Amino acid sequence: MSLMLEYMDGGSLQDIVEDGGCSDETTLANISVQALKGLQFMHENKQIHRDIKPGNCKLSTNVSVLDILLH
Amino acid sequence: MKVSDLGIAKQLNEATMFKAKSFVGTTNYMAPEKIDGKEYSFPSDVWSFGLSIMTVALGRLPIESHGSYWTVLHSIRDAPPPSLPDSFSKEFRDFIGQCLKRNPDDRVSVNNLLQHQFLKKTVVEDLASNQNYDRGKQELISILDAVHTHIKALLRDAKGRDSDQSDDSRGDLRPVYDRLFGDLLRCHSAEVMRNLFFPAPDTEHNKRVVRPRLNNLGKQLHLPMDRVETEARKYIEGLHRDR
Repeated sequence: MSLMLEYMDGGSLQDIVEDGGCSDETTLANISVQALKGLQFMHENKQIHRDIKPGNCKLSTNVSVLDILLH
Repeated sequence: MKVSDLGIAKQLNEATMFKAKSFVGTTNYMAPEKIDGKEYSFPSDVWSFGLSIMTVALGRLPIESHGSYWTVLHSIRDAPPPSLPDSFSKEFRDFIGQCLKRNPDDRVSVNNLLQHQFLKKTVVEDLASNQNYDRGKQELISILDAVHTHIKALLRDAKGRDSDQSDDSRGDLRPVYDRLFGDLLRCHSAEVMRNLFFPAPDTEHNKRVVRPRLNNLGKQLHLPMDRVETEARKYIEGLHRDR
């Protein structure tokens, strides 16, 4: 299996938690949609992530859908 | 944003019935069924996702994370699932609540979660953050300003020509000009603006030219279509008031 990962320059959700969190629901919904799309991709491909946590949700400055390629 | 750390992701096949039985994952975000050593499946990811988003919202993990390893595990397993305070919207609380059902069979799937009401209301703003939204709105206003200035100049020019019958050099262009602008020459610039941006909704011109154009403008400015319309209407109403 090989992985192609995009360079993520925006830190992770853990950074937001450590900065005191984010109570803005629009932002939370946007984050949720993106994380869920990544998760949807995995689940559709019969993969369980098993370690979803804020530190594993990376942010990029320009948002796009997960593009991890699994062979 | 992406989901990463696939180091322990496990390939599942029909034989394992999409269930795996090994003990991995960060303890604090672990679903209750994992702690009991039960088989876990896709719903376990949903629990961890819900708890992660809740942690981001609160700025702290909403479960007892101090104390010994087993204290933490037992509190995840035995305490009622954490819930958000009333300061958050009903939709968001339900969204998280659907993820944090103790019984994995009761938990919502990722596909259904993507359809949740909480995400619906923000689809509009999915294109851009609030900061970008303000910038987009400013850009839209300056575009409208530029269009309006241009129209005013055209009208001034056309009206001047209308009254100046002796100008033979431009006489040839009169029919062309009339066909292009027609009655608009007798209109105020605000009305021309309105005809330009909001022609009668059921005309072919509106469907084929104006709507797609407004749509493209919205995309360029990272503004949702309905916002472009609202702002343009507001602007044009302002012009009418200023007459």
